[in-house]
Amino acid sequence: MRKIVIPGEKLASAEEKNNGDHTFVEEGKIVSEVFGVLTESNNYMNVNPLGGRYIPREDDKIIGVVTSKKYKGCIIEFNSAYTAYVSTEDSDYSVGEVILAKIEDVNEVNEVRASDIMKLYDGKLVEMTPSFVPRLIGRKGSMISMIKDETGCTIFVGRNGRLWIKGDKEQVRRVEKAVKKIEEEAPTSGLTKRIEELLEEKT
Amino acid sequence: MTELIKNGKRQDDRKPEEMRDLSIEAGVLKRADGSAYLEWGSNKVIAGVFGPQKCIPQHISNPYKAILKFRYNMAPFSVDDRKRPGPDRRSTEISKVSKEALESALILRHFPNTMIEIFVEVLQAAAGTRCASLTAASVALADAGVPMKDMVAACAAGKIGDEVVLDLAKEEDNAGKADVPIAIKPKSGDIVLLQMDGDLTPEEFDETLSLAKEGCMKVSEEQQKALQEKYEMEEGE
Repeated sequence: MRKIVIPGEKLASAEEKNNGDHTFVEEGKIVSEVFGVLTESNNYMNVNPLGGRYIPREDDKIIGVVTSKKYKGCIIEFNSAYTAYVSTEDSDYSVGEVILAKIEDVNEVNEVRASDIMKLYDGKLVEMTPSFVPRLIGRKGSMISMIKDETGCTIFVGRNGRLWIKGDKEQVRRVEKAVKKIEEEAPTSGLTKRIEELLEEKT
Repeated sequence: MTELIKNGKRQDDRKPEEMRDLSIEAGVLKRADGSAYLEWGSNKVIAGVFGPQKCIPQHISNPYKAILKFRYNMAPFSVDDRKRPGPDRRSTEISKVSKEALESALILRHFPNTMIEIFVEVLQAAAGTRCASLTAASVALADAGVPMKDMVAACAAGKIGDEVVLDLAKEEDNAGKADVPIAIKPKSGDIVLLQMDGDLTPEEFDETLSLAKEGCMKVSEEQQKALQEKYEMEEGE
């Protein structure tokens, strides 16, 4: 079990450690700014939030839904406070379609420009908390490839906490169950093993 | 009328510096980004946080930070005589002061051009609902993953008879001499909300304020416990 921290909690002295993600320095102390799980790496104190919406970052792969069309492009909604603009000169997209895209550029007021779009057909769109996506993927993709192997589904994972699952109806349901368990037990350790057990017992 | 305080015991058998029972649960609303349910004596309050999300209407957005919206609402059935539904002078005031209290603790510059909406519904009211709603809203904001410097905790103190007491109950509030609700940032001790109803001498005021601050620290501990428990519970499932 990793340590759960609350906002305003002092993590370490700023002289000994560096402040990483979701932390700030106040009066010589590193302080958490969110409710999350503390992780320490390379002398950096990072806090991984246990909630909250996706914050767009450059080069992230996201799964979004086309919400409206503009002149020579469309607006994509992707489970964030912000929407993305995609230029679609070459092909036509209609409202309601699910797409996979790469974030090309994020400016200082978080306006997003995306590219490398790919339409996703015939799958199911599943949502989860964005901060647990690394947990779902696992170390070097161990968790996600295990789920893929066990169920035989095609899965695309968006960094924004959206999954697109394509496969047999029953298998898709199993993936959903696994995702839900990951989300509930994300702060605990030894999760890959438990997910493996969960998937095995159903077959 | 019976005496409010007799031999150092209050009507509900509390000591002067004793708080009513407080319990908070985080993450109670499925469709909100963050939520909390709070029971404080016979106060029952539910808070929900939505956002950061697209700012509506667009013209009130700020390109430097997220804007905050706070709605304090009392249910018609929350008090003995039915409350006329909808916003009134009192709830508009509480919404405003609570919003300003939270603004000083939240780190809003991470989300330019967005808004964060906080809805607090008072389901049962028995004095001290503004403190209860602010406390619940703070937990709900943390649950929603909104970055903040510290979690705001609120508590009231006041004067009944000739004595300064913590956390006034309904009868004490109605018949008492003064009521001072405050909210602080527990880490630094900064006061982010301070109101007063009634009369106090400067000495009494200082005493009330320090007592209320102590109360806030206890509230803060409950808030932390509520958040910690959210994940312990899910682990046990």
